[in-house]
Amino acid sequence: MTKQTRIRNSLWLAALGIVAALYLSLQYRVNAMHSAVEGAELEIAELQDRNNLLEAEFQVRSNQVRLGQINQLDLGLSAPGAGQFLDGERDLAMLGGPRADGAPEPIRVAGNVTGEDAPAFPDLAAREPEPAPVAETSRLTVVLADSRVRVALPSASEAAR
Amino acid sequence: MGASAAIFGAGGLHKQAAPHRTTPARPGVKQPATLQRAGRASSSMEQRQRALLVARAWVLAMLGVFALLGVTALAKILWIGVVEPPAARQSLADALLPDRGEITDRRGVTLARDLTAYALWFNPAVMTDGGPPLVRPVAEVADELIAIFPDLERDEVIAVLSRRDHGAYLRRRILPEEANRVNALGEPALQVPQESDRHYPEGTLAAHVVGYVDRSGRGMLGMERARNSYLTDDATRGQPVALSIDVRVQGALEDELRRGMLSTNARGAAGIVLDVDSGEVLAMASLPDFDPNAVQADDVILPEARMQMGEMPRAFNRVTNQIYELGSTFKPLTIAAAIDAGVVTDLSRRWPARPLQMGSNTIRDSHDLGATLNVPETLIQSSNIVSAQIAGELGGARMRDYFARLGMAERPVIELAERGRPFNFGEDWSRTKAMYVGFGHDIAVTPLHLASAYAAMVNGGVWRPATLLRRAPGTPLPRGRRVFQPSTSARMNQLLRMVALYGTGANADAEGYRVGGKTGSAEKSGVTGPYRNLLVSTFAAAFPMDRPRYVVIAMLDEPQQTAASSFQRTAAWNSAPIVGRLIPRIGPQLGVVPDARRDIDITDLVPLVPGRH
Repeated sequence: MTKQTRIRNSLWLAALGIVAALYLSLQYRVNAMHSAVEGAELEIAELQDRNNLLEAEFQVRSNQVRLGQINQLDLGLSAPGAGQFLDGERDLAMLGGPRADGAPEPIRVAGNVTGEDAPAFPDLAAREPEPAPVAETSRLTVVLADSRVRVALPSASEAAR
Repeated sequence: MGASAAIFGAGGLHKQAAPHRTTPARPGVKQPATLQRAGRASSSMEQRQRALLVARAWVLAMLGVFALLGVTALAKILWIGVVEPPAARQSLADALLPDRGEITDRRGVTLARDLTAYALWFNPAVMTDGGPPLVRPVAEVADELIAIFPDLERDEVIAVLSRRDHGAYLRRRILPEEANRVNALGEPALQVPQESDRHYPEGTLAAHVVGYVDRSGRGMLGMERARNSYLTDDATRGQPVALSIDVRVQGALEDELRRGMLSTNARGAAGIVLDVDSGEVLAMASLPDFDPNAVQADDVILPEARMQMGEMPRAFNRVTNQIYELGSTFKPLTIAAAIDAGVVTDLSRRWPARPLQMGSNTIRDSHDLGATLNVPETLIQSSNIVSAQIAGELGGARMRDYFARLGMAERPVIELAERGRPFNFGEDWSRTKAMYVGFGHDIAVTPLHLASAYAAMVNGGVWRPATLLRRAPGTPLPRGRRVFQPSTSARMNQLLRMVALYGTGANADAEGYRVGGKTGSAEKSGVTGPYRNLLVSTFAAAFPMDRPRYVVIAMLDEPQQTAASSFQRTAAWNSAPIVGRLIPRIGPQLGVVPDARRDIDITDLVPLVPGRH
């Protein structure tokens, strides 16, 4: 066995050793990653479990029986009638059309705050000049119950003049 | 673990390398300095040399032992780190797979699901020192447990905590906060294991359809029982079972039935909403109901004394399992059979309406309906006498054939296991039998039989099995069985609409929904023959009659005369209003838009009804 052969052999051995060491370290890394993935999966499963609990709680709180009670008792809702549905584009187009002859007056008062119970007149509107008593009777008053703003509209006959 | 193994592995290599280089007797390479010096001085002192040899042998032996240990450790580490498969564990998919599959409604709303819940378990074997399982006195621990769970019985808790033989549940289901408080007691024998638990978020809603599971996880009722193998099979339980039920429709049906039941002091109520084309059950309710989350013993089994009184357990499904003589609701089926068979070709033909003597019995009407009646009048005024005559003219054999094809000879067809066998269907029907069946007597079927038969009558004449499983969109309809010709069905749609417009069904005529239907008030036969004052009142309806899509059945068991029913006991006053209130609630959700300007064309039949033209 010459010296060269020995050197070559030892080099080969060294190379083999390095490769083996690299392989081993890689394998350790792979296994370490495996267990990290495993841990993450475990965590996912745990979180999913908690998710399920929360989901179930939401489902219980929003169950149909409760919703029905809220709709009926708290909100006083009832099923819509046939007149509340529009059948297609034709109905929709007719919805905004002019009133036919003899149709009833549309309701223009959105609240019943008149007389003694009427809320205090807002400052902004109160500065407007008081209309004459005669004119007052011929005007329609629109009272928006929530915003407490009154808007006086001229009646149809007055507008014609 | 990988990193630490690498460090140990390197150390092992070093230990292993050392003896190999020292074992050949080649001194001077890497021996300790003292040995080298001793080697050079050996020629003069033999004894010393021997001692040295012995010492060397000892060193070698020790090195050998260490090398062996090192190699073994290294091999083990390599084995663990590289070769050995990871410990058997659940994959993520397994961990997320429920123990039992989910049940949802047709839109995906959960009706039954698995939850991980805590239980409180007493384990006396946890302390292995031979002493008592509890650290503190039993009474003290019992008091602390009762402070957490006030409804526990002190005696029972003490009895459980005093056990030494085997463990026992103190509670089946506890909240996470309660579990924390139990852990804070510091008693190792009180364990809070996590267990998979079946939970029904909708509570009592559709309880008879969904069913419940027993403590060992076996489906005991409803679809839990019918689909048990699917729900527990590894391959399928990841996919939820989608029922044909719609919780909104189910909620409305139960709500209206309950209101009707309470306002008439009825013993029970049943109802069903059925898709006439596909046979899908949109809602099925049986009242009184039970909570599948907490099933009580008397929900399932009642003492004999209460059963004798005619009471049924709450878990009993009145729609599929209870059989009733459904009375006048059979009359449209009789007329349809007669029209279909060609026995009635002229609807204006007048039939005598005087009481019929049938052996010892007399067939009567509820009151005198006049001397003669035509077919529309028969249905509108619900005449037993004329219906019986029409059935008699049709004859026993043909009548039986029609009713058998409507599915009344066998248990109702549906997935549930709880299905009642029809009573007194029989093989050969005499003319008399046909006449009694003609107005719904002498035969008892379930409300589901009636719903399927009505669906066949209004959908063009094809009977299809009812199903509680959602039909996937695009799949073909199940193969049906033709019972009536389409022309018969069209004629019956007109007649049913006329009953709702002019007859006993007027209280069910929800505006814009074109409801058609028939009332039925039948006396209930008990153990000791029919009681005069016990009724089963039914309303069988379909809507919209110009293109029928759904059949609705509402039934009250023993309604009383109350102010809510205008002091009437008949179906027109107690069952029909239920349907009348129900249909506007469910119609838009089922895709039926009310339209007051649309209706089925009945102009050819209106002249046959006096006072309506």
